[in-house]
Amino acid sequence: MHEGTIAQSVLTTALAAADGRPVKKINFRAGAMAGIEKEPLLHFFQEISKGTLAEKAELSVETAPAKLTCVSCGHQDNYDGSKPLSVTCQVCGGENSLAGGKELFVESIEVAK
Amino acid sequence: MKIDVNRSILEPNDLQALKNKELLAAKKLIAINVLASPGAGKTSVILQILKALPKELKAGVIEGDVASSIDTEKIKAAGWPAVQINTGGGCHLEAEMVGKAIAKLDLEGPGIIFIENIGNLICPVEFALGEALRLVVASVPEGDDKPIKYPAVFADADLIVLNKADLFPYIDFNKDKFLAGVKLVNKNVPLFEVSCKSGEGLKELVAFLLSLI
Repeated sequence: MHEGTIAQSVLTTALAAADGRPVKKINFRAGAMAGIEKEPLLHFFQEISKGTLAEKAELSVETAPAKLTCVSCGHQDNYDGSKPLSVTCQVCGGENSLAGGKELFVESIEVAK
Repeated sequence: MKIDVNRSILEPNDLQALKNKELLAAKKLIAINVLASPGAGKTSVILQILKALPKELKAGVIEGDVASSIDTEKIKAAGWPAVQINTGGGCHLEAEMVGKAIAKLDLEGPGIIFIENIGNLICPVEFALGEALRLVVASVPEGDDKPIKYPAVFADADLIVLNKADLFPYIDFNKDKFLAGVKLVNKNVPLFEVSCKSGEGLKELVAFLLSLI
């Protein structure tokens, strides 16, 4: 768990994009497979953003699921880490394949004009 | 006012990882990033591979640990150059610290640098180090459900080694379950069962590794 490092990287990326303007909101997307816990991330961000132009920014964390696809019937499911991973397809019993969900993306920020 | 950013926060690390890879290529070296939980056998597997490498190939190890230089001493005692990175609490290696270690190692190829990552099945996954290959070491005593419980690290592997195969008779390890879990997240990844203790499977592993580089 390294939400402190991640929070720092989010802050750096956002401040660079803000280019000297106060940041009001950061829209951050974390893939379900990237192993990030929302609460610690928010906590760390609150601490490290003090004294910066993002001090009052709201950090919005969206969890992007990985995709579970059946190799046999093509049935797709989202995997967001909240349920056990299923090796077999719930529809046809075929083999599942898991992909994606690893991104750590600052999608956009909102700044004061 | 909204500003589109669309940037991965891993970009600075990814850029440094690329620099590391280029630095290594210039010296005719490739790096292998070795990941596993603590005690799975990263150092042992590295040592066994080192022993079996042809003499024409140079090799060295960058050891990553929270603290101590125990593994670095093991590698040096066996006759290979090694450099220690201590993160002092950090849970994964990053490209910048590896870049500094590569410079310290001062190795000229053709050859391989093994980067033994911090013992951790979660955090190191996101951080490219400049490696050509990701080798994940699982071990029999850890249980057959690790690929399902830690999908990201197994999904990212270029090569999986299942170590401590000598313990199969003593552990409730369902091989089919383990392999099904691996297949779920990483369809065609090469997988080798080995025992660093008995020597089983190591010849095949090394032969395969050499065929890749």
